[in-house]
Amino acid sequence: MNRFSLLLLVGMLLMLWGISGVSKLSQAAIGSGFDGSVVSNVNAPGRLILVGFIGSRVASELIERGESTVIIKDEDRSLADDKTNGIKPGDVVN
Amino acid sequence: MALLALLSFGLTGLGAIVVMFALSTLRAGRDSAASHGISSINSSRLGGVAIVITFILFLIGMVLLSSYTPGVVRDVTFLHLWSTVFVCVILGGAEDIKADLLSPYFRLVVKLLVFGFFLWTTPNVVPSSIGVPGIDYLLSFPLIAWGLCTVFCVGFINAFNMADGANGLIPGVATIAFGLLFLEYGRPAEGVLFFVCLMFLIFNVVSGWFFLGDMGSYGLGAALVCYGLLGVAEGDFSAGFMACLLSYPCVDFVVSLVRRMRKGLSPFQADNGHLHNRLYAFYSQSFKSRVTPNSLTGLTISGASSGVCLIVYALDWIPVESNAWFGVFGLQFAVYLITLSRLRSSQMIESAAMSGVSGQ
Repeated sequence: MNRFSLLLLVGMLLMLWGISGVSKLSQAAIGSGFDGSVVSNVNAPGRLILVGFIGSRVASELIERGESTVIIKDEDRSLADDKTNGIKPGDVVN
Repeated sequence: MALLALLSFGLTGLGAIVVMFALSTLRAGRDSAASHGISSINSSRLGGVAIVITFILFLIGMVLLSSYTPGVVRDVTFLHLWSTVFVCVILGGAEDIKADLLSPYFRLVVKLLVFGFFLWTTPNVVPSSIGVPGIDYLLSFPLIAWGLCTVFCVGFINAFNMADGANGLIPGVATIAFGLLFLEYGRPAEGVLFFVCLMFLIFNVVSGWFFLGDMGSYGLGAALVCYGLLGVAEGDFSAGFMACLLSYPCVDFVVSLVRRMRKGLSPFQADNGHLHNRLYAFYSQSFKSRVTPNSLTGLTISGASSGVCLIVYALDWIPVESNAWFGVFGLQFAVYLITLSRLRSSQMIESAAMSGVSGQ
């Protein structure tokens, strides 16, 4: 594997690790019933390592806004084949 | 660079920097320092390609690893919006891969057609009023409003491309703009664009190995103008707020056109009379590094234009829907003119003194 491919692979894996981490945070927030524990815990060491100071706040904002602004409305659930049918409150859609 | 990325976006940010570093090692799109007005090191013009690849990687990751449903799947407005951005990205990319592959008139016609089509098929993006009496009267006629908005969009992405002349200038403006849009709407698309632009800003300012290129400036410009128009049309923020946020590209474009026409030159002829060129010459006298004056120029201008808007927004001094933002924009215009005039006169005095010394 040449240097370019190796760097690209490492970079992609790190980014995917971060996205997976934010996704798990979102699931934890849904699991806790949006009690604010995930959103307010912006300075947790594991979270800071994974998504950094700004990223941690961006993730909290996304989870918080997801709770209040982009919950799938009932009328949208009629979209039969749309994968959004499976979306739970708190999942972001745009 | 790695430390800044780690602090701001952790290992995710580091991953983006590694992807950008990998792309910067490619031979394709490499330019010599002599071919640019400001850059004094050999750089790659594939910065736009790096932004697009990082953005797409992030989106794919979000679709695969979370319940994220992109806006283009759910909302026809966003489908049209991103299709327009995509065409602009391709247009710029063709120019980055091979300079003058497409003639300027061809690019202009394609941009007019694609924005014309977008605004025709998505009339909800065309504002019905912007708070300026004469223009509001014209915007009350749908056909005139469509024509005005089409010309404005094409002019804006050309202005964005023209202002892309220093490390961190346009990436800085775009980072602040997408950051503010994310704070306003909280949509993941703006969040990802903010992340990608910030990582590119760090990479661009620290290393100077990349510059945005036509792909980046067309793509970011198209995304910002479309989101901006949509926000103004929906009444989420005033036109003055968007003007203030994106003041440097707009003011520099207008002043450059007037300056060239006054000299009897073609208004679209490239020159080194922009404020960023003058400021770079000023900083170059104080810093011997090849990257520092360039990066300082970009950061100073983006901070003094869009950064002011960010501060006023963060301190909540003026509501985003208020037309008072036009006043802030007027101040920014005045500061631009005063700074340009002072830098020009001081540099003319210096060059006259230098020619006097060399003549003796």
